Amino acid sequence: MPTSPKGTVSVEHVWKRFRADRSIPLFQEHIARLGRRIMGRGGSRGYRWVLRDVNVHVEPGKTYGIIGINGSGKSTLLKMICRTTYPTAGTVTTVGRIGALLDVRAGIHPDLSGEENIYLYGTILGLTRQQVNERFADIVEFAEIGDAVDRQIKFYSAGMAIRLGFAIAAYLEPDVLLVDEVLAVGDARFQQKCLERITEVVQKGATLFYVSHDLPTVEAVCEKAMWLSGGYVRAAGPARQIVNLYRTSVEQQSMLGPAGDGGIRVLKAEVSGPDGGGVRSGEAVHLRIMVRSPEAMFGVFHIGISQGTAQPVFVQRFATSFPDGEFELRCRLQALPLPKGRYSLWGAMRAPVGSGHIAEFPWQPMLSFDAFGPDVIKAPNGVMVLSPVYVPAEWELN
Amino acid sequence: MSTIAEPLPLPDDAADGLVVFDASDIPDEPPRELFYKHRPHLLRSAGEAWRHRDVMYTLAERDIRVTYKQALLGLGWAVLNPVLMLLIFTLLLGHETSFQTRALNGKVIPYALATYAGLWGWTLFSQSMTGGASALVTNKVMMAKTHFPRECFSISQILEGAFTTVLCTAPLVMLLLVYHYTPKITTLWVPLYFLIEVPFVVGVVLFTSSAMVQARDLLQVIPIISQFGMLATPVVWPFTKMRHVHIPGIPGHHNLQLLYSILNPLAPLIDNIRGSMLVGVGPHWEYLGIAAGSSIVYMVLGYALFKKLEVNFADLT
Repeated sequence: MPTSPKGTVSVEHVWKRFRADRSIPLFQEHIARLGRRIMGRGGSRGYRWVLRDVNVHVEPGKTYGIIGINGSGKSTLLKMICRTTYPTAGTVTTVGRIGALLDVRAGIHPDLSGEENIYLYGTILGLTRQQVNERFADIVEFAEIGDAVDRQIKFYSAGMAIRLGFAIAAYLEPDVLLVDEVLAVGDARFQQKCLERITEVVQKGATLFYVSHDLPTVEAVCEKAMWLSGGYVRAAGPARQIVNLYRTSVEQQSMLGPAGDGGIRVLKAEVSGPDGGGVRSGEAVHLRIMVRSPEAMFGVFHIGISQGTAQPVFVQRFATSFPDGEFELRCRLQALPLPKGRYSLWGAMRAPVGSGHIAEFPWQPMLSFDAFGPDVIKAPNGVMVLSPVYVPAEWELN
Repeated sequence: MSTIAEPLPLPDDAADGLVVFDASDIPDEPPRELFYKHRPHLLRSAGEAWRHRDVMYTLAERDIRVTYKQALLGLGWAVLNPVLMLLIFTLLLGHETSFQTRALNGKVIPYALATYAGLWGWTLFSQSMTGGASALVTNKVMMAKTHFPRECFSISQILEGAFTTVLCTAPLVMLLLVYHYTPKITTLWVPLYFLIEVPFVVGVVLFTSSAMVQARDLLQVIPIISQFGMLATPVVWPFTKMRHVHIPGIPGHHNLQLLYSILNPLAPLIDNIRGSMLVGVGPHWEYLGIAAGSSIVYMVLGYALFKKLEVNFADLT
């Protein structure tokens, strides 16, 4: 579709399969398969579909996130948008220059100096020497490599190489920028810098595809997103909603999964608001947890509230002498510091190491609940909010 | 333990564009008509590759820099191979009379000079093939990131081979000085011979590099082909030997020059390089024509295979 403007990415009914066994078959295996085919015992090799009927259309200047667990096909989809690999079925159209950050060091050549790498990639992306010259200073400055630009990459620290890789991809003015899980390696300040640069590139009209397990950055960077699961699109739409759906699913899976049985069991858990009803932001919350322990112990019970993942927004602990058998724990949180949303309550119980008690309740989700109240306040574009916290505040302008 | 096993809850504001799909709606296999059919068009692909010639230069430049960057001998390595070969052949076979053809003015051509001229013509082919065969495999990192035509990787190795060939003229000039031998005016034809050699080299390099992706065994085979090929090509022996070949079981001698030129276009080309530069004879148009035709056939076949296999490059490297 040459009529589409630069930066358009269109993925239509794309399927991709890999041989179940990725190794290249040996000669004798070819012979063996031929033999089976002749004998009429079906010589078809095993295939595994890694992408099934994926559709996306993104206009220039838009940002698109792709989330999903490992092996769900995210990177394969990016590779196809990058046109480095062909779909087995369907069509992929990418118009314009592609800047790809698919791998931390991908394409940075270790034996060349920083400068040579910059020119090498400039040419490969279709820029003239003059055009690279114009951007050279920006790249060096962004990557913060200074004089090291004359040094061979293999003498760079890992951080320097990553910074240079990102700077090259982000400053050579791609029409489509593909970013796959690379920001996670930099330190926090560099991450923020990269997010700002990405926002800048997008504002200039580039299209962004962003793949990450880091859900807050996906929310911060992307307008729309898709959730890939087992190679098919589970859901697509506004990034925030997709991320929430995904979080809920991850949480449900961890609840349905086998919770490591350490002897102690949580029989029942309840969360309720101040009047026994719904949970509301800024108001008291009552927790009731029924526990059965095979032994009496002096131990600690931790609870934490999270957005579905194992990393809680906050944690509370209660250390005491627990009896054996069944008992009920009650906890009153004075004011719930969370905005509207779906959360899960995690818990763990164990005795101190060396106390001789082996029974434990490993860290796992106990239930999930909805909180009602104000919406989370969105951060400025390109800034990620790690976990949502509701803080009542008053403003004044003097 | 109370778990909540309700269906996926939809957020309240589900209306604005959120679509949730069900896996059971997706068939096991894509419909037949959707399957991607790779039908490369050779001429169009060649045009596309030509538009990316800057990339080829850049890749070749990178490889040359990398090769010679941390090497003590630097560019000296490039000429080492033919020079060592020359030493061995001169020491072992230098007394043989087979090469003592006379130039047109009656002067005897020194064996070392005749042999080096052959090695020089051979260098372009052997260097390109050795580097080109593994071009795709060694560049897999860059291949995963960029999407310019894949033949750029292979062809850039030929540029590197050409660079080495140019460097290898230095020993040639030294030999000419040592032997006080003036090259003939017909030397001016030599670029034409190299030009005819190029399509053959392109064909072989495209063939070997794409085949290497499918079967890494080739890595072991390349040095063998290279050595065997050098002995099977009139590099250190005169092409005229092909005029009187005795085939066991068939009485008499046979002139295999024509047949051999079709199979191995390098044979008449190297013979012509030697003849024009040292003996002073002009091009043997008959053999050159055959070589050119064969050379182009090799290129088309190699390119066709390359284009057919390129679908799998990214998945197999």
